Amino acid sequence: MRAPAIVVLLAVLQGCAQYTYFGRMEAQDSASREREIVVYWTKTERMLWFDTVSGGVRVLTECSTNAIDYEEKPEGIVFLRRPGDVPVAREIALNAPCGSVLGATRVEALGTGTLELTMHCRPDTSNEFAITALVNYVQAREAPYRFHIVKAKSDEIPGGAPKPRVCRR
Amino acid sequence: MAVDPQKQRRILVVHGVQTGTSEDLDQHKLIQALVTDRLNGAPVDFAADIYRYEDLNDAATRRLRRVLNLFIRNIIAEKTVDLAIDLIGDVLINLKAGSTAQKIRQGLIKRILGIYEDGNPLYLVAHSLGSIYAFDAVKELIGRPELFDRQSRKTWPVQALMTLGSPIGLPMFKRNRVQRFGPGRHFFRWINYWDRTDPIVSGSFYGKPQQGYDIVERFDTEANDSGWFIQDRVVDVGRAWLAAHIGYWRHAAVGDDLATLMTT
Repeated sequence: MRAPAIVVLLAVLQGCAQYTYFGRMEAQDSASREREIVVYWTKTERMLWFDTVSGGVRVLTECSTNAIDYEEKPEGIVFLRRPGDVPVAREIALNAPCGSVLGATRVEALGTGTLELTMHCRPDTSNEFAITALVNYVQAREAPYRFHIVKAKSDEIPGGAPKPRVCRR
Repeated sequence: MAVDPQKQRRILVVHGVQTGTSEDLDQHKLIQALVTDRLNGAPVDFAADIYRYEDLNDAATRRLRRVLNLFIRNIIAEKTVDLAIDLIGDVLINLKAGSTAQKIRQGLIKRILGIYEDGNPLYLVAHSLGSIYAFDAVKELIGRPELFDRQSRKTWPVQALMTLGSPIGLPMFKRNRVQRFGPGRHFFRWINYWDRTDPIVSGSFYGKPQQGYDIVERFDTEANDSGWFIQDRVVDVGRAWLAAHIGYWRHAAVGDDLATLMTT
């Protein structure tokens, strides 16, 4: 009787299954170089512990350490302008959306297939603490970026989350 | 004294409620490995270290342990009491804000200023109860007139704060206001990570998910020129309850954001 109870307890504590949703595409970064862009998010589906839990949608760029987080907020899934971001072709206040995920307001509602997101900012490279060669991210443009999203168990991906390929320079 | 942006970046980990002794703590190694993995070969020179204060907590509760152990007749009960004092004692020491809590905070400030004197850009990563000490240390340092000029990050002994699974939003800790910088062009960045089922964040023993989107973003910044840029970041560490509370150390997004903070 004790062993099944321990198994159930462990299942509850560890979470049932975590899935990573991700997609890759080639696009220009803010320095107009062709780069691989990766988007991903995770969802944990639990057998016994409340409901599904998810984090933000993250965008990573080849040759960059500047991770972009499209967070779930009351206004939708948005990338909020940080102190190191500069708006392009429009006025965007600090902490106002520099971009958004289109077609959904909850990460939980996102799945495999097509994901569209927008970007209207670029990184500030004038900051003396910035390593300028590493701060670029997906280029600002009017048209949304479109990713094809697939799903895998998180523990099948090294580190639990994808990375862009190693920088080609 | 000034921070040199060309020097090696330093990450200082502040641990939370712990069992065992200071020597048992090595979360900085997890952070070093996590960030290295997420950098994916990007050339960023950094090193992680840890501020240990568990021995101060243990010393403060030693007399209580001795007294209770006089009444305990078996090894299991003794270990249980030891564990309870270890965990609950750490929290009570912080809440009481007496001499031990002050020693811990001052020790952290001394460590921060030592790194500042060496000129390395410093990033604080604080877990659980350690986030209270880290937040208070940053607040105290911002209050010193010779530090944290908003016009120059070179005068900042801490470049950014990252808190993981922090109980700072719970009313018992009575923290709801930041130390104002005044006018200037730079912002002090604070990212607060939390998993919805982390019971230390929500205060729910059963791990009932924390609702909403903000905890520290609600802090009173007193004015638009507070100088803080605060982000709550809801994450899914893939575990639940207490396993979620200790799951941040290996969470990819934590590594990604530390890399971002160190290079922007």
